[in-house]
Amino acid sequence: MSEVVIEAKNLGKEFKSLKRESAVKDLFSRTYKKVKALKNVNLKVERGEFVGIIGPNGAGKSTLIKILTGILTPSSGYAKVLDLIPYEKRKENARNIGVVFGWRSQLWWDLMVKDSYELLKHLYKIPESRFKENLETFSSILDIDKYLKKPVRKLSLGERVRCDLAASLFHDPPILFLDEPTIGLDVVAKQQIRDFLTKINRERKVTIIITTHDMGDIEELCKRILIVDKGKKIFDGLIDDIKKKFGTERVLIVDFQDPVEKNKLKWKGVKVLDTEENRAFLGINTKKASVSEIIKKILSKWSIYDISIEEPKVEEIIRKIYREGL
Amino acid sequence: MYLDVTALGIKEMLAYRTEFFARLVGALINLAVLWFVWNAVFAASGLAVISGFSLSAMITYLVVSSCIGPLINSGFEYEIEWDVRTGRLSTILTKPVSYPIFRIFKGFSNTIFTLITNVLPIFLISILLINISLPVNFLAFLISVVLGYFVNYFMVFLTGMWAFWSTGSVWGLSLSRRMISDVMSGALIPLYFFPTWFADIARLLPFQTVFHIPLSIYLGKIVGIDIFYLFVQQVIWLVILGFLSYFVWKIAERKVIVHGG
Repeated sequence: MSEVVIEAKNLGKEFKSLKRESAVKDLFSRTYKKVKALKNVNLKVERGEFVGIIGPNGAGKSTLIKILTGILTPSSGYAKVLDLIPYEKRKENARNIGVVFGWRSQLWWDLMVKDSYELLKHLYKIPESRFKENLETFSSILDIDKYLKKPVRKLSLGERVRCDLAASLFHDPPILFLDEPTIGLDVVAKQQIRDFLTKINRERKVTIIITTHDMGDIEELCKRILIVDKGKKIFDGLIDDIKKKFGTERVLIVDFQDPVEKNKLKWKGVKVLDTEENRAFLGINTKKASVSEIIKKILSKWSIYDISIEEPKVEEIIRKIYREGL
Repeated sequence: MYLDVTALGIKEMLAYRTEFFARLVGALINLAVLWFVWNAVFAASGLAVISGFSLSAMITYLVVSSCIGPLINSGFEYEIEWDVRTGRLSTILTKPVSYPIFRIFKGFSNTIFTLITNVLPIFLISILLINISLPVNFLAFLISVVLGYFVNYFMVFLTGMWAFWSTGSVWGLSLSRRMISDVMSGALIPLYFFPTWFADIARLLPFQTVFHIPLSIYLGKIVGIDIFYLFVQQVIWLVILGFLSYFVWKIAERKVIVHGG
């Protein structure tokens, strides 16, 4: 049984932005240009999915998240979150979702973390018992017990984001939106957050939509990714597919016993990427050549110390897609 | 549920308690200054009554006026600006709350806290030490203060709303509003002191409903059925500014959710 919880159809968003000329000129006449932040985006997300949205800065990721959280209206098309049009029913939609903006805390700066939590309990009318239960679960997994009685301003970024994450989930929202939650965090904090997200996605079946620039987040958390660029959705599918489809290159690193001439390493579908003394880096296009065949050929001609194959990194594939398109 | 916002706001104020002690000291100094100045003025003039005010009435007027002042200046227009400027607005809008109601209830916390830590102590000290008189009609005074408070609240709200069009301009606008209000409301000098034409203009503006009306009732300058007409004036302004605030918020909200702020 699959149930669509988020749907977007031909979603588009245009912004008018002021074309600045000079401060004096702007006072009297203003010219605007239209910027298309989102173009014809179609999307369907099923309950329990963990979807990563990636794309360069200004690609439209945040615009998409803002529309789905109800704080921005699209210029064309529509979006639905659990059968509600989020930007028409902002408050109702707010009860169904949790939101964390990595760059902006929802906690009250001068108050203790638990004070903000108490307010959320009232705003969402969460029963005391459920609230306590969640507080216990979240503080044990996120390890935030010791921060609850500290004022938010005294927390480090990593501590604060963890507290924010818990805050977004007290009302048991079926859907969680995360806009760059790991931005600026150290490895330990990142890992804690990833573990937590994995857990609530699995155990509570919370549907999670995350935007990030961190490929570690994507590889560890998301099965499905959405790549947006210049407002367009340019890829939507499983992360494994993207590896298969675009990761057609393997890098073979060979350590020869004696120096080898570069021009002798020539086969169809093989490119010499680099050589350094006895070592050669060979790029093998797996569509044109088989890695094992090439290894066999090398072994039959030369004696070697070591040989290793490198998988393509998602990060590199993505970089290539950003640069060259699909 | 919005009252919880107020309650939490009061808790937040506690984080700034030193600021409130400083304000209390400031208010005491202010009290002393106005006492000395007006004693000197009356002594120099040789008159017992100036523009219908005896020395004691004058001091009572100014003390009560300086008690209303901090109550109505909660500074929540700056909070609105901060929301818009820093994007805190987005985090509030992702909650199941109405933004203006959230802000207004948050603003109450400042009023309540100021009332308890600042206004009531000053008022009691004034009664005990400088013998200010008590309100002629306490209930009517209370009603007029509350009505004036909300008239002012909407003016502050409208000032804060300006942030949606031009961040950074709220401070200047707020300052101008306060300066006009200080003169036109009778907060600094009773409207009775001004030439008739000036007082007439002031009576056409909303500011006088915040100070002039409650203070006139307090001192018994206006009594009986006339008090009712003052209430009507206040309610008219309340309705006008209330509707205006509502429409301005609707436009601002549209601006945010259509144009992204």
